[in-house]
Amino acid sequence: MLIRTEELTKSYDLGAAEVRALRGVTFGIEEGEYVAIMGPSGSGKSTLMHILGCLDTPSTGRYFLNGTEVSELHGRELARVRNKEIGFVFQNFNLLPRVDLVANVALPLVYHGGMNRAERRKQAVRALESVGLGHRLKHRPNELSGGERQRASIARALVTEPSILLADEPTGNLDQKTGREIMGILDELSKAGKTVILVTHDSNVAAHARRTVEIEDGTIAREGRA
Amino acid sequence: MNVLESIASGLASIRSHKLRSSLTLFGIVVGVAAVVAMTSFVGGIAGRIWEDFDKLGLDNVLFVGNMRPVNPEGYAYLKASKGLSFEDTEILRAEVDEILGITPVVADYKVVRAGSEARRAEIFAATPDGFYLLKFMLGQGRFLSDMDVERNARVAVLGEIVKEDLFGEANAVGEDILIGDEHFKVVGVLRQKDFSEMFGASGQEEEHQRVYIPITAGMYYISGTKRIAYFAVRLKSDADLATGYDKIHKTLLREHRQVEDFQIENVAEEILRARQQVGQIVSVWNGILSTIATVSLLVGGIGLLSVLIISVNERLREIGIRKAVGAEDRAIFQQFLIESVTISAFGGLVGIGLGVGLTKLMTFGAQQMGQDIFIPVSGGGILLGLSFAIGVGILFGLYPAIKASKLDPIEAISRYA
Repeated sequence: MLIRTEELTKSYDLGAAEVRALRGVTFGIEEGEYVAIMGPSGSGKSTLMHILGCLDTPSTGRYFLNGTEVSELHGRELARVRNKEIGFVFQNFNLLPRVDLVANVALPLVYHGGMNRAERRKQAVRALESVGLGHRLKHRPNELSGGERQRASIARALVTEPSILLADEPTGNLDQKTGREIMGILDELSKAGKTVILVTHDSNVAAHARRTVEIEDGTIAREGRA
Repeated sequence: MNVLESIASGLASIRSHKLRSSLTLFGIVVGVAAVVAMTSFVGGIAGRIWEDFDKLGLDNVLFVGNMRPVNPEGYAYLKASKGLSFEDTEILRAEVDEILGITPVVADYKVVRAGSEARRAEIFAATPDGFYLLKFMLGQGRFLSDMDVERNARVAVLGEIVKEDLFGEANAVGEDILIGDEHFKVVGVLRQKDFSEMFGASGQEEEHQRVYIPITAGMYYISGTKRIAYFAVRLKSDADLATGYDKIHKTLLREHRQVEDFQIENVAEEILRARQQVGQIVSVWNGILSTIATVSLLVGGIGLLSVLIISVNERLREIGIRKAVGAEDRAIFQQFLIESVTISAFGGLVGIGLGVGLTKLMTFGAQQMGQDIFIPVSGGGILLGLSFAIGVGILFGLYPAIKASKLDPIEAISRYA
């Protein structure tokens, strides 16, 4: 089991009221699975994604990733797990505007350690070529289309060869045709054996996954398999 | 993010916000320029004055003169006085380690003639040691030698003023002069030293109104006695001043059977005191300088702080992205601190350029006003200015860097989502 969670909860203390975003989520994901986490906004799916992506820690409960209990980790170790185990694909791409695509894609390797600049760039170029952006290496994000930006973002997520690809509404900012192209890339990656987790409220997107987990009110409401 | 990339990022941020950066850097530039220019100015002026003091030739010098002993025992005591002698100098040289050089002096006023020219001059009879001891400079010919002393040679070295009075522009070396009724041959002419104008009257004219002859020739041909007028003594260093003085005093008392028929004029201490006064003026100037520098650097630092805080807020998303892909807090902290130091060091370099320019302008301005002053650019000032700038970068970059490193990545990313 690549991912296993036990009774994850997350509460935010907002002074007057305590908001309980997660109320006990227990599930698992096997290596190589293609999973969609679904739910309307406010359901807690974003909080779950942040915890799965090691950007946040649960209030209670346990989270095992690749055999490590990451719910026990903090600061530096968590940063290292994000760097080595997780590749993020964001809805709004989140590329650095001031540098070219190679530098953007090489960014996770900068924090990886043990690689010089030339090696990092070489690996970034390879990742960009794998998503069909070999001809856009020196371009800055604002010189590219939305689809190209999302591909660059996928290249960045893949460059460290992480265990999990975590895609948060990957087609949310794209038109339908481009969205299908991006989903095509994710499908290919899944077929090649990558573990892909989609976080979406869009059932058309979720339909690409072979398994869906629906979150409502901070708990798992339904699970289904395609 | 390695150091080089952080530096590049700092430079890029200066480039992309030219107006903002130049306003920010203004305080640092002015502060550093002030440090460089003022350090150079104070150091240059003070250095020139130290040099003048050194040239004067009276540092670490004592004069020992004859004195009529004052004592209630009166006549008997006076009779016991033997006065300063040539032998005293030999004994002092042998016994007092602190002495670098010593010369007995026989001095008398005589009319000196050369051809049809004549004037009165002080005849200063000494050993060759006297020349380097009082730091005289040779214009032409040579100084007196030990051989001259041994042979009672009738040779003379002229002060520059005496030479001009007797010979004008003509050559003096090798010419004959008459001192009183005695024939002497000129073997050398002294040269007057260049003192800076701010040093004022150096009193060196006195040295150049003299005719210098070997001590032996002075005794035989001029004074006709073996009595010595005074000794000039140079001690090895100003640290030896007190002990040297005491030892000379004790040794002479012993040699003079406890009759205090001499007095020691402590010129060295007067020079030391004058140097200390200059030192005090310098430290007052340095105080003013560091106040100006500190104030403008603080102002510059606060400007830097505000720009860095703005920069962190503008780059929330960048920080969030970096953290999401695995940057540790430390890496973000390091990046922003290096950027801060890069910006302030850049300001420091500009300030150094400005300070060097100001220093050159001061030299130029002084020379335009007819002052013969060269103010060298102070290397210490440059180093001080640059370390000030870097210090400001570290100090005022600390808070923004900590703020950036502590940002929550989720919030930082979603702020612009």
